[in-house]
Amino acid sequence: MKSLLRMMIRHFFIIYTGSILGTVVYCLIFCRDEMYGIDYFIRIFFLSVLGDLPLLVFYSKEELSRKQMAKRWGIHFCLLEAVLMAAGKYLGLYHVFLWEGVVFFLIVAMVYLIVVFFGVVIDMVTAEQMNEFIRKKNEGRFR
Amino acid sequence: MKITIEEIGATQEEQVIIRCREVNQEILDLCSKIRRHQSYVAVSCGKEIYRIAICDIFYFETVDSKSFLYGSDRVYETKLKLYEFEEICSGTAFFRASKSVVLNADKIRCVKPALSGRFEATLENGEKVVVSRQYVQDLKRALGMR
Repeated sequence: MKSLLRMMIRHFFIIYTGSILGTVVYCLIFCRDEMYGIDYFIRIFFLSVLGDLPLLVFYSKEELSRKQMAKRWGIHFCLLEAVLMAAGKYLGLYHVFLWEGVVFFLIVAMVYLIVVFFGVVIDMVTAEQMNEFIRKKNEGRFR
Repeated sequence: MKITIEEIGATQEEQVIIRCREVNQEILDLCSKIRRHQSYVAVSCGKEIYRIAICDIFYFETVDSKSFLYGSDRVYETKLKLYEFEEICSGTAFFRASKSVVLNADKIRCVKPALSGRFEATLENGEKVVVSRQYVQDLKRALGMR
């Protein structure tokens, strides 16, 4: 549980910082004169907390198998979409449900896929580095 | 430090000789590492009790409050608790791989990513063991990456 909480706190700050940076970039490009009040930052704060909560599905007292982990990733994605769609609607991030809602859903899905993709790439690089060390270690052992 | 390995006959006793200018902490650590590597644990397989060298153990696992030691092709039961085994193996290639597993890094053939920052280690006997995300740093240390 401790490691999951650590991960949740880290994710919260990543989501919050990412959202603020996203807002800054968006405003720099599209609406330089836009003014945001304190309530906007509070809304982002709650959105970050809500986006962080679905991570609790990864909690398990025992080590999860590959299949169980894949299942939980699926549940996490559905929960995150549901939570963010509801929060997005409530916060007025999209208005007309039909097409704006679909665009919002796709943006969340795209960001999710990008995060998963980078996670996989980083893990593959780490595994390659470790395998290089194992090769060197074995060469030294059997020389 | 120069390392010399000399192959001897099957009847002769294996030994490690350290030739140094002075016996310092580094040398003492090296000696204790070699001693630990050579130490044995008592295990049982069915009704028989064995003594197996720590360096021959692939990994240690606790399942339903029972402890098991995995060799290349056999599984032994042991009375040791996970923390006791960790203490015995401290300073060797063994590291904590998950909540219930202590793995021998010397027996890892290769590593590949599993989901969610975890890694799957394939051992020399073909068995696969999952290394949890929170113990990946320990794996790197055991492999000499840090």
